[in-house]
Amino acid sequence: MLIPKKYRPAAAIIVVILISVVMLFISTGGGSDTGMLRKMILDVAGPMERVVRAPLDRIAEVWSRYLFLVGIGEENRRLKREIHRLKNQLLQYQEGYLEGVRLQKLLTLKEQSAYPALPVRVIGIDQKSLLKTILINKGSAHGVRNNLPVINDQGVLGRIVETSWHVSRVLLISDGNSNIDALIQGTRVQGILQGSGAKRCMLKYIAKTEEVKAGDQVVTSGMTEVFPNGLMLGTVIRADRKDPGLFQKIEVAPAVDFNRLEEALVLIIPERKRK
Amino acid sequence: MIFFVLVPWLLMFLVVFQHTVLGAIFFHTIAVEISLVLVIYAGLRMEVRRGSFLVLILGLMMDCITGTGSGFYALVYALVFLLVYLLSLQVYAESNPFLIVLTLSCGLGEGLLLLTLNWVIYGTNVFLDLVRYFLPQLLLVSAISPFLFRFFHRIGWLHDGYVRSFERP
Repeated sequence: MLIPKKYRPAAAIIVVILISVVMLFISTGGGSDTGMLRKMILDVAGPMERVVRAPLDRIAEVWSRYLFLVGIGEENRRLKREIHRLKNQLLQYQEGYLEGVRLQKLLTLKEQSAYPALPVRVIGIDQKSLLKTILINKGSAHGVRNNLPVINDQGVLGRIVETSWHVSRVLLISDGNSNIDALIQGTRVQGILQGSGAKRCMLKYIAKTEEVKAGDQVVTSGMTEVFPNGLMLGTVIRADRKDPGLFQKIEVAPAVDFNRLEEALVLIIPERKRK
Repeated sequence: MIFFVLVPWLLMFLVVFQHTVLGAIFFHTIAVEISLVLVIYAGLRMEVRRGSFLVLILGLMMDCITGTGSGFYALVYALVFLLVYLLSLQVYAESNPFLIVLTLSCGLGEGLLLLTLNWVIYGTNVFLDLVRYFLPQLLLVSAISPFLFRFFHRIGWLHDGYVRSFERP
């Protein structure tokens, strides 16, 4: 060998460094082609890497499935909570939607009404005590007075019988103390609609000679000036002429479903018109 | 002779192993560079011609696997090997703290060299990566380097029963 034994180690290292530098120059200065050596190494390393990676991928998959199973309980609880929350939210939205629909109807009614109407919310229903009444969230501070009619999109609920500043009591037409002048819409026969206490009203003082039949609609006549005329009161469900006496016994189903009262309108009829 | 035949294959396996298995273990956030410890081991303990050959092949394998230009790792590993070799002429490195510090220093040097080469050749300044990526992996590799040294020492054919540091030239 030309190189003395003493310098051979250093020479070996220098050769390696030189080879590296040359390769570096070639790789950085040359074209983008992959060198033969690299191709060979990559071709061998590729399958090796695939072989090594395959079980790793499998382990990772098993592990992730295990983690998935471990996490699935918590996920399940979280999702149940989420479902519960969303159900509540959906319920609120549905409530909002239905309220919107009801209010839309009230608004339509308000626009159609000849009198100013005050939207009110029903805050209490008392149909099981002696008086069949409801409480609404508006009182004298809002212009509510006694005897003002209360209606909704279905028809007449009743009239105001008691007011505080911010709450009023409404006597429902189904109460026995409620008497409203009414008439049969088709025949214009007039009578008095009196509550009978069991979601039924009786249309009184209709002579037996008058033609009244089930299905006839009963509306306010406007005679006593408590209720404007033409407001829906209910539908005749039975007319009986066999009853002894001068008048027919006519049962009327109120147009309003008193079990589903949420919003209503108080018709603010000016004082001067009511004597 | 068997050394020169076997080494390329085993080094390739080592590089693939550290790239895939160790990479997967550490979620590909830290590259555990066992190859650097092998270079240091070669510089400290192996016969120079064998060591040089090993370092060159290892560098080229690293270049191929990591995708850097051929010669990047080869040159850096060769320089690390040279420095460690020169150091081994002065000291006999056996204590664990010394091996850890040596690995850490060599790793820092390697990182600096790689980033400098990258900057000089490609013009991309990624020196922040030294702190962000190199340092964490260096700390890890340094910590396990004594065990790796013992492991390499047990592979008899690596040095063929010859441990250079026992015999001063």
